[in-house]
Amino acid sequence: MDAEDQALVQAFKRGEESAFAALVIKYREQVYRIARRMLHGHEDAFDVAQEVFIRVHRALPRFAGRSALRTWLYRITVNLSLDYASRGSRAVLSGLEDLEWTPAANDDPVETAERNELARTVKTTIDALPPRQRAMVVLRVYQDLPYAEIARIMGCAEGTVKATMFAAFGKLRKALAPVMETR
Amino acid sequence: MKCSEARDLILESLTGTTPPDRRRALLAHLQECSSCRREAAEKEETVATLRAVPEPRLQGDLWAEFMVALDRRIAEEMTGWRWLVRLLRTPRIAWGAAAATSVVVVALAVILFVWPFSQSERAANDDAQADLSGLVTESVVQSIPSMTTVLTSWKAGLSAPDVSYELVSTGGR
Repeated sequence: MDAEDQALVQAFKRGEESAFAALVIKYREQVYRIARRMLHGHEDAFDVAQEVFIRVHRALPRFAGRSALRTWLYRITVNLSLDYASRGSRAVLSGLEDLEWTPAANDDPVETAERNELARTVKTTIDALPPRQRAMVVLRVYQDLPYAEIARIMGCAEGTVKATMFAAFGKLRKALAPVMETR
Repeated sequence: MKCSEARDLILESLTGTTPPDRRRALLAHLQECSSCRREAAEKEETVATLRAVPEPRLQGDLWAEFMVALDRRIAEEMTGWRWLVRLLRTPRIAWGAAAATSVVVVALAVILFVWPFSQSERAANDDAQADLSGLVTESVVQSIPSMTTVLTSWKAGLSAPDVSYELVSTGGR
């Protein structure tokens, strides 16, 4: 486990609540981004990220450190996101509007529209993947995690991750072909 | 390197890091194999398209709102027994609680087991003393000086070697 994480976990176990706040600050953005990539809605991603840290706060006193804290956190995030997605979350109900990123004041409107169109296509394509394939693609493509860590997060063999990624990329390639031709 | 191995490695190297020696082997294979080169180009394009979607721009006060909401939820959770359990799990408090519990247990053990026995033992001793004092009456006390005289004369008689048995017995008649 990362030395800084280990120190923070030990401090939390000694009763220092500020150590937990430091852990939240360190990981909140990555946790939120994974959830948002998997769910696409800000509200759902926010709820999942909150729930992740509530569960971590509850279980951290018993955390033995057999896996890295980051791996444990991401596993909770992925499992909760899959659970939210399977329950028909707000993102599914609210359509695709929430997929668009908030533009900055000085952004070119045409560029923003094109970027949003691309984002929409990519997100619907990733959404069409089976849940576990989607999780692995998000962890690999957007979080740059090694296959070994993805395997630990997903609770499967490294070979399974490679095979799943291969299958997922076959589907992504086919679905994104029209977009790639126009780019 | 075989094509099947190269195809696994293409995706791995395009989406993350690959050990330098494996990367060199892959590049050498791609120079020779047009089929794998085409596969690599397609996958590279797919990865580029996926990554072309920017990260969502987060609102400025998102994290402040997040921390406030999280603190509130944790505070709601940490009431009653959860708070107590969390408190007792912290080592400093746990050792203090263990020491206090030990003191209470020892005190209870003394009160429940040791003290009643000492009380009954004391009561039994008092009873025995009362029984003995019942035997020592006034007449026994008055007879103690005369008993002392008798004992002294017995002692003197037994330690007198020059007085023969015959003389004592004749004189007595």
